Amino acid sequence: MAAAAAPIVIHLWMRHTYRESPWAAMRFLQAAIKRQARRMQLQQWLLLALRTLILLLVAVAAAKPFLSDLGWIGGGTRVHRVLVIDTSLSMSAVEREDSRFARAIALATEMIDASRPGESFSLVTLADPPQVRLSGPVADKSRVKAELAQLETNFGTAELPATLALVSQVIADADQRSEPFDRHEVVCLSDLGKNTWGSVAGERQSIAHQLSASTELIVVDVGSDSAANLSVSQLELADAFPTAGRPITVSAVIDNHSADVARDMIVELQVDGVVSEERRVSIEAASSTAVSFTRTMPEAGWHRFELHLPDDALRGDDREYLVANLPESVGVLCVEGRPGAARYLASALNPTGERSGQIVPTVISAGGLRDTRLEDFRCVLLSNVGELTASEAEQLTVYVRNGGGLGIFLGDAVNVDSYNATARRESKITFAVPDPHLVLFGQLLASDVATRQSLLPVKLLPPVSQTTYGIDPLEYQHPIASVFRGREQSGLLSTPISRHCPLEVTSAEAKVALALSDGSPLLVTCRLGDGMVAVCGTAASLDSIDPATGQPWTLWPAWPSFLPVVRELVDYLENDRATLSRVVADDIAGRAKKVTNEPITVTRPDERVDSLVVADNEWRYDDLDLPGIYAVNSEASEQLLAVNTLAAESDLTPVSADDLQPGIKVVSDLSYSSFGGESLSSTAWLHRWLLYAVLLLLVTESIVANRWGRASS
Amino acid sequence: MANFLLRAVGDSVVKQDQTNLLDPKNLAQIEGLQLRATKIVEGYVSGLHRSPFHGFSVEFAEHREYVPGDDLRYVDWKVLGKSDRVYLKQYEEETNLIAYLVLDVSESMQYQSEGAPLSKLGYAQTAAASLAYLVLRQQDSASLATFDESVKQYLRPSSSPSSFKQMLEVMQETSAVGKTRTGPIFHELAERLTRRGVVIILSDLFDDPEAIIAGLKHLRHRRHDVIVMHVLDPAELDFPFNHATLFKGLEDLGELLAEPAQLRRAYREEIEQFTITLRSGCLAMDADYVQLRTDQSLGFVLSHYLARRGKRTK
Repeated sequence: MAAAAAPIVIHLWMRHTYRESPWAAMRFLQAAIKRQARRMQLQQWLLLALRTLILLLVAVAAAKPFLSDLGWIGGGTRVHRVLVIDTSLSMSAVEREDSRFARAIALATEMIDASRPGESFSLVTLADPPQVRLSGPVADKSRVKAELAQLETNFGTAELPATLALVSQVIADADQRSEPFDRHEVVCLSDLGKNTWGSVAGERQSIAHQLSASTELIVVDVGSDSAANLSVSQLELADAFPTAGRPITVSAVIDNHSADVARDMIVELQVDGVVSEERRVSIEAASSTAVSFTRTMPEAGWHRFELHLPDDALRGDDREYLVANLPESVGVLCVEGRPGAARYLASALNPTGERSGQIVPTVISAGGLRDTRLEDFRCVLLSNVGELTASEAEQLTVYVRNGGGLGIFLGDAVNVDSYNATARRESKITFAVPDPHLVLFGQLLASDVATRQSLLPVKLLPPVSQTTYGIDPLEYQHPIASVFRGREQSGLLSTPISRHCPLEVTSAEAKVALALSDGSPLLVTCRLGDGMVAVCGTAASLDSIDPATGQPWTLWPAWPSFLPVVRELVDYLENDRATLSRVVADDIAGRAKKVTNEPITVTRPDERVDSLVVADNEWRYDDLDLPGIYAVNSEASEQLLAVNTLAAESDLTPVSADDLQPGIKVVSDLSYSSFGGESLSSTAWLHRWLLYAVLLLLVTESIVANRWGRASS
Repeated sequence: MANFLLRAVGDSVVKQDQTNLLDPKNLAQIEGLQLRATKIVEGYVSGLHRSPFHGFSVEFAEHREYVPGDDLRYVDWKVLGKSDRVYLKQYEEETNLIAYLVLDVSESMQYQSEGAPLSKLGYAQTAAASLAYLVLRQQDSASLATFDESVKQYLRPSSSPSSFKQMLEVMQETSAVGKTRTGPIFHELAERLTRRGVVIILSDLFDDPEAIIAGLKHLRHRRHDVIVMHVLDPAELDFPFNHATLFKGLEDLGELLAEPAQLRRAYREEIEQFTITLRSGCLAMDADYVQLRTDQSLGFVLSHYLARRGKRTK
């Protein structure tokens, strides 16, 4: 500003830079000055103003950054820029030297540095769940950059709609918090991964509707089309009933996401922390291959399996984890309403009758159900049990909700009304915590939903007889029926069933596995809590007699299809209880004994131990942010949990910018030109025009000064 | 004697290119008024067939027969037409011409711009000397009066060659330091110059034009033939300055710091208006007005004017 006084000084100084001359015709000179006085004064003022304006403009152009840093001047248009940084797993892919995430951070930092006065920032992560890291709007660049520097990628996915909803909220809050902004700009730095953006590609309206009309969405693509990556999309035990002491098969599916063939890749299986086996595999471009390892685990209990791939661009998905609690044998409780009613079930499960069989059925009478600890069994099968008392129904509900499997076969002893009244009653169960003391929930269900769901997914109707025989596999869609696909001669279709209780499906989640030839459901399954329930409309023994004909309800127990259906049913009900796995960012919850004093802890893959807070016998844990094996420990028990990355995040191929809706501007960098030169280039154009003005004024000053003179009279 | 000297000097010098020598720049290099005057007169004015100055007419007395050498102006053409004889008109008294040279020696006459070869005073002195020389050469009388705010010196009319030398001495010894009071001076001179004559005023006339014209009218009232030779420096007419200039007024008129470019137009209008006023005033009283720029050839200007005057008074 002091420079603006320079013209005045120059003006005064120039008054002293003159020549001297004697002069005789003073009277005429005086007369001329008198005539010109007003005009000259005006000219001199204009000249002074012109010179002052030149230096003032130069001073403003030079001092603008300084003044703006001090916040003394505004930047004109108030822009609220919401930086959305993709922190999903695919962003950690390393291309060339830097990861996509590092590039995103660098570009965002550049953008913050280039911001001009009047611009404020908010910071949101594009993740699942999305997170507001800086609600703002914050004009302090250092604060924004500091927050930006603390961001890290995670091993999870990104939920775009939820993120944009959060961004909309941030924008709305920003307008409420202060004077409304002239414009909001959402700058999303992402690799445009298919897993994140694929769901919205082609949906022309979905994103636009989430952001207001005054908000512009700019996506900065920090990815690359040529990223290659291998990943394990599946690691599981292939056996139906994996047990200790018997060979088990660990199978994996390895995906090659690149356009090149992956040759002789070394795949390594680690079991309980020790390298068990290595395998060389070659995978065609953009395809998958299955790899299986067979191994016998001599001891029952928890075992850890890890499959390692060679390091590639995305290291986060190069390891897949699996835990399995292998029993010595799979225990199935068979409850018979009449003596011998579960005989055929037991035979189907353990045809040889060996005590050391893979599946060991335990047959009890219906009266012994209440005194039996159901948690010792993977599955409970009821055969022609006449009634279920309220306590038995509650006992079974708790068992199923905690992950157990329940199969109900009917018969002539079954009191349909009792079943419907008791078993379908909406229970308000206060769960007793069974042994073991610790039970993991597979899914987080709201308590009220869980407690109101009835045990049976069907309503039983009084038994009817029919003349037509045969079972309809319903195109083998259900996992129980799928084993018969291509085996039409195995006897399933010709299974003779002459009497059954029609099943009226009442649960929306119920699935019909098998039907009778007239289309009425025969075998209905349904998830309840963490477990499974199945109801079969006919009998599992030959002892139920049709009073009309004196013949058994069905000859199915003696039919060839009975054994595989029962085993598949048990496999289905058992619900992979041997293995527990989740994907990154899932939540887990569990139940613990109220009386326990010892804290429940979670030991994470990074060796960090978190203590859990138990409230109302329940605990929750939502910090499954790392892939690996988590151990949940309580007083006397331990449960392992394998957490893996989502396979879809491993595909590094971006969606095409053309597939995104027109309102989304996709750029590859943050240069000013990429943004149409309006917002980020505002600083530049202002200075440019200031300099243009100075140049124009300099030329004008030269002309005017030459015409009017360089000094005042 | 002086005439002899003048001729001798003139003959020795003016044999070369007279026109070139009489250029103001070259003239300025010639030391001494006398030499300058003779150059001018010998180079230009002497080329005139007849003198532009002559005496005033007197009462008619008689006719006399023409003899060769007589002035044809006095031939009585009526008699010639009737009798085919050439007679001259004889007057009772034929007076000699008296040329009163009135020279302004005020301080303003010292001014000499960078482009001008002579100061206004130097130029006016040269013109006065030339005119005096011319008058004396035709056996008429010349007088010199110098003035600033008063009449400084006055030499009575004389036709003797020595008076020319005396005039030169007076002019050369005069220093221009005083202020101007032109109008009152003219009134004073009108009272002092009792014998009719030609009053030749050499001045920049930087004074009130109305007072000047009033003074001139007074002179005309005394039946003097008035010739105003307005001596101006070219810078005073053109105002050619380009840079800021502190103008230090001569004759104690103070100082002015001015941007000439801004004032040029207005100044020119002012000085032009001044000269027009003077010219108009002179014209109105039947006086001659001659503007002398100090960068112009004095000989050319004088000869041109005198030739014009000669034709007019024929």
